[in-house]
Amino acid sequence: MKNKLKTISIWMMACLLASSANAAELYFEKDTSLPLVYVTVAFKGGAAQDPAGKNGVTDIMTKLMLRGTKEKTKQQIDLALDQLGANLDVETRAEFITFRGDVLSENLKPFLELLGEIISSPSFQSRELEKLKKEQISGILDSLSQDRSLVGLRFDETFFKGHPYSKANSGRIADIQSLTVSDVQKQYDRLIHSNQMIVLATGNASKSSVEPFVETVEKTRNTPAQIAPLPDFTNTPKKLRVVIFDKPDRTQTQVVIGQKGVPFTSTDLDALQLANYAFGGGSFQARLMVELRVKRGWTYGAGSGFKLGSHAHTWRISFFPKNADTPPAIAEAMNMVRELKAHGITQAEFDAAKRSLVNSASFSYNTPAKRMENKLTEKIFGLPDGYYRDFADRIEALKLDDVNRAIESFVDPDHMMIGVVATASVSKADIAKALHIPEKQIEVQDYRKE
Amino acid sequence: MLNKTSLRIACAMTPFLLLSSCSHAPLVKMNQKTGLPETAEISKDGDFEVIPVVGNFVAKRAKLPNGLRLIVLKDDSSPTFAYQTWFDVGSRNEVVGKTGLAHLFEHLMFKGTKNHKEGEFDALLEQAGVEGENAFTTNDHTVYIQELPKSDDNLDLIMGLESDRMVNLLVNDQSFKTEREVVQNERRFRKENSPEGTMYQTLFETAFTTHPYHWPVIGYEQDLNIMSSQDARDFYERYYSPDRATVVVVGDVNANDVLKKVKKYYGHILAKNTPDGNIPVEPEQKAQRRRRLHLNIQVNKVWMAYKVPGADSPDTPVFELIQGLLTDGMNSRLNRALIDSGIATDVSSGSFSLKDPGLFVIMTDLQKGKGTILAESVIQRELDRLKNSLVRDDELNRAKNLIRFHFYERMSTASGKANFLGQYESVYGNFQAGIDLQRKIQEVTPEMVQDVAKRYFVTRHLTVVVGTPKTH
Repeated sequence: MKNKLKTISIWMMACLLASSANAAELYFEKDTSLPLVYVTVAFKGGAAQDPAGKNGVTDIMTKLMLRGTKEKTKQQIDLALDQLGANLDVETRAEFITFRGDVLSENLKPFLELLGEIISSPSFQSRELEKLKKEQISGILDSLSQDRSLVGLRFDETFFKGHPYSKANSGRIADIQSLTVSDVQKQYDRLIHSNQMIVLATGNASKSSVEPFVETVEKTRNTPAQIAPLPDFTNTPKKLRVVIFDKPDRTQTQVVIGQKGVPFTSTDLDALQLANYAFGGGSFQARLMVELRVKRGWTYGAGSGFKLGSHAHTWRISFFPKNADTPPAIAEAMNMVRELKAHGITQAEFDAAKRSLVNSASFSYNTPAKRMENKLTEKIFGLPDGYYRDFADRIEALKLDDVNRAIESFVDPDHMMIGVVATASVSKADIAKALHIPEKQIEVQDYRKE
Repeated sequence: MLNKTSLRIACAMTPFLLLSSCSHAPLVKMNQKTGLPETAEISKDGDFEVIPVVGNFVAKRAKLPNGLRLIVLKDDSSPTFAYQTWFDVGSRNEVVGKTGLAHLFEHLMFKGTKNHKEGEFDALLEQAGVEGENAFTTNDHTVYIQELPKSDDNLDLIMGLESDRMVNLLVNDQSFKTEREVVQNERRFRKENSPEGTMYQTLFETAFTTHPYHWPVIGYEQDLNIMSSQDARDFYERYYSPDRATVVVVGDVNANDVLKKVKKYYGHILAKNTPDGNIPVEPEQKAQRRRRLHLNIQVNKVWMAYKVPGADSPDTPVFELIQGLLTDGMNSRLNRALIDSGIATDVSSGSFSLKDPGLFVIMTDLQKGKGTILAESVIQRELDRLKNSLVRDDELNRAKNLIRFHFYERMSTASGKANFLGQYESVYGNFQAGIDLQRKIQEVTPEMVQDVAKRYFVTRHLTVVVGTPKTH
């Protein structure tokens, strides 16, 4: 497969019918192409709201909500969903949680009644909690075998240490082990409130068919949520920081090089997205792809992108060379970052990136599902309506000078962190040498350590 | 296809007819329950055969004198089109000592041609706003995929580029060596440093002793290291030919316009009519085979595989249904027996729709501290249940509805439709077989499930690969 790490996303909004009944928000788009209805129910507040020592409680809470209500056991919920021809999944992200379902149009009413029950009156049984904790912990342990996701997880934990963005969405094993029903209930009481709820639906139905569900939640969950505002992250590395997440027997490393990013609402974001596209974010002609893969064959994938949130998260570069190529590849990537800061991108790169982003914009809003996701992102992160719809116009209006000014002020090679999943005994000395730093400056941490 | 267990849907589903905005309704009657055509009736429209697919969607198929097959399906729900080129060549066509050549060659197809220097292919498509430009190689096929905004210019662009690299590719030593190193890195990523990749490779190496399915699609390190650019040129000369290719276009396009352009861009390319050659036949497995791997993992893994016939077997619909019964949905048998019971965190199963006889695989990740013998015995017990008692009708219907739901989901996007049409045209030589398969799945009876389970889930045809944590 011809891999590329496509990390920037562009969306545009099509027309959605929106309303705000009481505190919750409901958005609906009719689509008769399938006899199905897709429903997303989101609540602001995700893993970043996990209390200290209880990382994982939000994810456990959402999963436990599917495992029993005051009226139904887990088995009864599973059976009810099967009988309705419905699917329902939950997901925890840093700043929101979602319940995503799809159902045959004709069964929308009972599906929404069930969903209303799941959200309004979960039972949080201790037996189910204990079973779920074991599953969750085993799932986290199993995920450690995937080096690419492992490096991302450990990078965030290390870079944002002490900040809510350091928390893993699925939690920490030590914290999960000690969670109680009371912890889960408290988190539910903090986060699940109608004034934090956004409901998005699309399919062969009408907006009025979804409104009773919204009203049910508004009646039962109508006290104010207690979502703590996130602080800005200020503890950026004082100098280039290198951390090896030491894992035995690696013949290949996974590298993430990152720095503090910008928030979703930054006025520089469009210019930086264009710059990122030219540097490593989505194009096979991007600098990283050309220098690390095409010219040197050092890596299969090479890319860069922004991780975005309500506060500045990260801008990061990633690639995965064999052990021997890791030191020169890291050194070359750092040189490229310095070069980017010093000279920006060229007129030709600017023109190509702009054309590509504008011409591919139609793929970002060509289905109701994509338009629904766009609206969700706008609402969660406080973006203006039409943020995605206007993306291509904003890109079209950019000038090379705007982009290079944004690059010069944003890119910060002296305060980056390099995270590497590698076998330290094999790679550490050569990485230090390639970066011209003392070996003792490289931190080494067991890959299993949370 | 292997399905994960996360999707959950359906029992006692009522009529589930795929509707679309397509304005060209088929003349044949569609089954109100399945949304599939009642018969595989074909009509003619000029150079095209017209074949109903699902709901209101109709595919048109034509064949050029040089053997190139074209399938066009109009779907104007989005102002875009998907373009896929399927070549009937994969690792199945490789020989011992040259493993991985088909996949490595796929990478080389993005290098320069006589008309376009290296990098131009990607640059031109990116400027046009391409989405999902990619390629993949399997045991049986090599596929090149793109989606583009609808326009006459973009149709010309993609056909010009794809037809050019079908016949004018240049493979020089330098780009070959660099790309070979990229592929070695891909191999390290997918196999060497991936426990699941290692288990997958071991499973096929153990189950197959003779047939090319024995080796990984990505190839062996030592074979890739000694491969030369001449090997790649020979491979291109042998297998990249219009008579081994199917072009699939799905989206907001006019079929007659597409055919006119295909004739213009591809019509002059000569067919090579290269046969598959003598692909070794796998001898019958006479005894159970087992491998235990010590890996950098934290929980145990158990993979079990039984020999099954090739995709064109009349038993294929039954295997699809067995997959649904075992692992599709929260109420499936192995979900209940392994996950609800606290033994595993994940379980999946399925066959691979391979041209030649392949495998039906069951894979499970266990919970911390749970042993592999227990998991294996639970799986075995559930397979025995299939053999020893008839499946209830309501359970069978639940599985059928799930399969139908997955089919509709696959057919809900332009690229999904193109993938379906290309895959079945490539595997069976006729994409109607894929539609027939969906129809036959709905006709499977409890007796057929029991019969297939008894015939195929036999110990002597079983291969087991167990992964356990390595101690350092």
